[in-house]
Amino acid sequence: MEILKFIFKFVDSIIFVFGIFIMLSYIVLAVFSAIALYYYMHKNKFVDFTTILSSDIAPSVTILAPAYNEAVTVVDNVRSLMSLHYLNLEIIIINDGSKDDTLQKLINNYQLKQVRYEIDYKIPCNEIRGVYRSENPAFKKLVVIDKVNGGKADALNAGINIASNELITAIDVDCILESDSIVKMVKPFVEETNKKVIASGGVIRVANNCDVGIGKINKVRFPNKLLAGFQVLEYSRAFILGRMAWSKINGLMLISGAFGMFDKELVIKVGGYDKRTVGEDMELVVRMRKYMHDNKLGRYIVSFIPDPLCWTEVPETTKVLGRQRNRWTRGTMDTLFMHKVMFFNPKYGLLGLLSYPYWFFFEWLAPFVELFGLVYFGILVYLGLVNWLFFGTLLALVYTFAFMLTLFAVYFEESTFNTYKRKTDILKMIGLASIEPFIYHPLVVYWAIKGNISYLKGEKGWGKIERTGFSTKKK
Amino acid sequence: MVNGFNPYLTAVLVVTMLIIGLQVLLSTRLLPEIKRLFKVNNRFKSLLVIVLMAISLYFVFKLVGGQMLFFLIAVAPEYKHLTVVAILTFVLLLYVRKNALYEYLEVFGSILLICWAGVFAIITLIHFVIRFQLLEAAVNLFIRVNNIMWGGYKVIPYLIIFTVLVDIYLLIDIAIRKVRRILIDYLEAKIRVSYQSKIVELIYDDVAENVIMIKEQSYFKKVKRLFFTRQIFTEELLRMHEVVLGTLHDRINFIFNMLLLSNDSYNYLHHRLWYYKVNGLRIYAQLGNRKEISYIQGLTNSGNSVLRSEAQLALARLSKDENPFGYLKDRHQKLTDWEQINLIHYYTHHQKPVGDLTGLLSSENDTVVLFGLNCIRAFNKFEYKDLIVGLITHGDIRVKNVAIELLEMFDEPEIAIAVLNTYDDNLPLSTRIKIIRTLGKIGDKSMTSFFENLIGLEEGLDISIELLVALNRIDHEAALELIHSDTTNRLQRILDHITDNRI
Repeated sequence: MEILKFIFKFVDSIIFVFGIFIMLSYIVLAVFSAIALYYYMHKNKFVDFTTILSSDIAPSVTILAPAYNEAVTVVDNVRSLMSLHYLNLEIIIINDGSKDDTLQKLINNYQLKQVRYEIDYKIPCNEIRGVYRSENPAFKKLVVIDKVNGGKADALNAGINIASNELITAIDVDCILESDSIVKMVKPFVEETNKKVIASGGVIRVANNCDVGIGKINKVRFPNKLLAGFQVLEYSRAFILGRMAWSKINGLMLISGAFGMFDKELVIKVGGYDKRTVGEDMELVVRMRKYMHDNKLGRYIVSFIPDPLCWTEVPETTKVLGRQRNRWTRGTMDTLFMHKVMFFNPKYGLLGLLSYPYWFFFEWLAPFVELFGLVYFGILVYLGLVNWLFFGTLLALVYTFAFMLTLFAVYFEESTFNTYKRKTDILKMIGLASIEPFIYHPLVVYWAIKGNISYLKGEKGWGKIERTGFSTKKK
Repeated sequence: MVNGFNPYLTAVLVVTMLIIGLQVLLSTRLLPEIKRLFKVNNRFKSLLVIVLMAISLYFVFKLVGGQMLFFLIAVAPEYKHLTVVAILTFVLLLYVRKNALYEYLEVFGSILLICWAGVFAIITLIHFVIRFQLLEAAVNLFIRVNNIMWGGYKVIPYLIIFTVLVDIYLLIDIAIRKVRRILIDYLEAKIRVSYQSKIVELIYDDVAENVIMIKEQSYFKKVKRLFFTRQIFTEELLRMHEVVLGTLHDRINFIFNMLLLSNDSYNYLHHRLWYYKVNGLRIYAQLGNRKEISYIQGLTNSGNSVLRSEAQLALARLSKDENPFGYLKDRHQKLTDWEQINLIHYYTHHQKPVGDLTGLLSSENDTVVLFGLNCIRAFNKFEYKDLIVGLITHGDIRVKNVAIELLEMFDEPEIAIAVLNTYDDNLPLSTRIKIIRTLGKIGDKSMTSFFENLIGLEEGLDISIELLVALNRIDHEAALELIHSDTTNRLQRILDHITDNRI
């Protein structure tokens, strides 16, 4: 009995300490995020971004947008990309062996012709069947690549091989970018001299229920579906509280695949995107950072822009969302295991000592601890060893803390970019924040556990993604 | 001493109160505001604020050794009256903050609260470390960690109350912000319209009328009195300054001074916070006010890159120097691309002379040299040929690349030879490409063999394309001959690639 008591006390302590650390880490991240936002808002209050537009000094940018079976949306999405404000811009759409008529639609709508193109496979990728450019000077910026299917990472690598500019921007073709998004993303690259900016990430916003015109968001509205609403809160927390803070301390390990800008030369040096993983976005950033450390290439930063620049449609059903989260978990695991050498390795500085362990303990391990906690609690209930008063108090603390954290995200959002202007939207956000710990969070934990199981089973695919297109949802 | 004395939590309370008090005093420029209110028309209100703050502080200090202030009603009813005073203080502080409108820092409140959380957490941790003598008990570590947990049980209610209070604060603040934003938008739109017509009236009236109007009319007294209205009036004046010409500028400056708005801009410029300084710089630059030019020049060496950049732009507008970039010559800090873009944009846009660039090109600061080269490119300054040639052997790769690129402007054999002599297989690819591209434009047939040899040696597609383009330009026949003799057909494919007009 004494041994059992000892074991229980030991487990209690472990869970308690884990919980305290996770809470403290969130508080620290919130502090850094607030500082970073405060500085960013003041810094850019008077900035005239248009000066970059007419400058010879500003770096040239290539947008890479892989498309696989995107026939429904591709024409509108390309139109959206064509309207971006940036002088030296190239837009590469990579048709990754689509089974539908994605390529044909592009050819018809943008008057494309196949050009004689000598391809330099600097990064290995599946065969590029053809490179297309438009005969119409209005679409001079557009390049379309047709290649044998090889997945998103392979498609991006093909795009990098064709890209002719200094910076590459990887996006999801179904995303809607704000017209000034490229200008804002480029700025970190031109305002640093003491450190090399190797990548820059942007905030992804939820476009569900927004009034979407052709290629742009006319009016921002909060999603009317519960699941999408929860994701708004989740994205705010992840981007505004999390990534902003990590970028402040230069510990950012993930730039979303939906919208990220990279130094092309460095991407080529590290060998481009890794085809073996479904978390190619995170893996590339980690590999680039690792390369900088391994080769002692001096001080560098991975920057992050908090402005709402990229809008995407998030899953509205548990089935699709589950698949997405499953993939994210597998991607995280891939990256963590591929770069396990960094774990508490002082050679990698902050990355090895803080960022990597944070991802390991609080992103990958946390769902297991939560699941274990639930099972453990069940055992305690069964054995009648639960101190119900203590349990209730602890539960109240966890709930109020979780609510507080989401409120911070809402508060930062409200006091900075004020994206959701309607009062009802804010009320909805607060309402959802109050029920999120009971409804949405358990689902996220479940999908994360499932993702781990899928990973162990050796699943590699992306899962089916259904596109409906923004234009069909116009309000 | 009251039962349940908790020095740590009390300390947290006191520190928090002090932080909030200091924050309001320092960051919102409350002191001058109070002074002004005191002078103008609201002595009673100011006096009340000061007296109540003093009383509150007195009670807060008196409370050291008692319970945590916010839990007094619940745990120590005998201190109810003190709680009321504390809450009143908070309300007053919030009132003052609200009244300060634009100076109400958007994110600062949250930083403060998070700091509160951090301090609270650290103090609590220290409390338990001391209480359970954790540091002295390495042997019984596990048992003591366990103690923290059950000791933590006592702190959990406090943590819950803390998080709930923060939640309530955030909810109230979010609501206030939402309403305030709507109100400010409404007010701004309303008063902007009336100010626009007033300004037009003022600048087309004669000076004597101006003086009378500004001194006599209650309308202008109101403008002068409230910070919010002063700020909008300033913005409108600046906007008007941008669109009018000639003597009307002087009139706007006169009105600006008459309304004592120049005091605000001076305070901005000399404010300790950099973003206020930036605001001040913008006003001085827009109005062409050169009074503080030496101070502004000092800011061009600031450690803050945003301030530095803004000071440079202000100086660009204000400077009447023949060499407006003279101050950059001895600059130690790097000139970012962003600063360069802004400066070049300003001088191009306003077609202002950039003066002599020799100093920039001979600077020891690589980024200043680069800026000099970028200016040469932007303003087509052909007179610096010799200096540019000298820079093609510069140690900084960016300077070297831009210098080589610029030599395309000078179609002279000796320059082509100088560029050719810099070619080295060990140079970075980007430099080699730039050399080949420049030689393709200014070289002659004597360089044919150089290109032919390189085509055989270089394998990369990018450099091969440049080589073929260059060879084709300086010796078309030799290029065709080389392509025909290529058994791998690679050069033919590269030629197809180059000649396809759509690429």
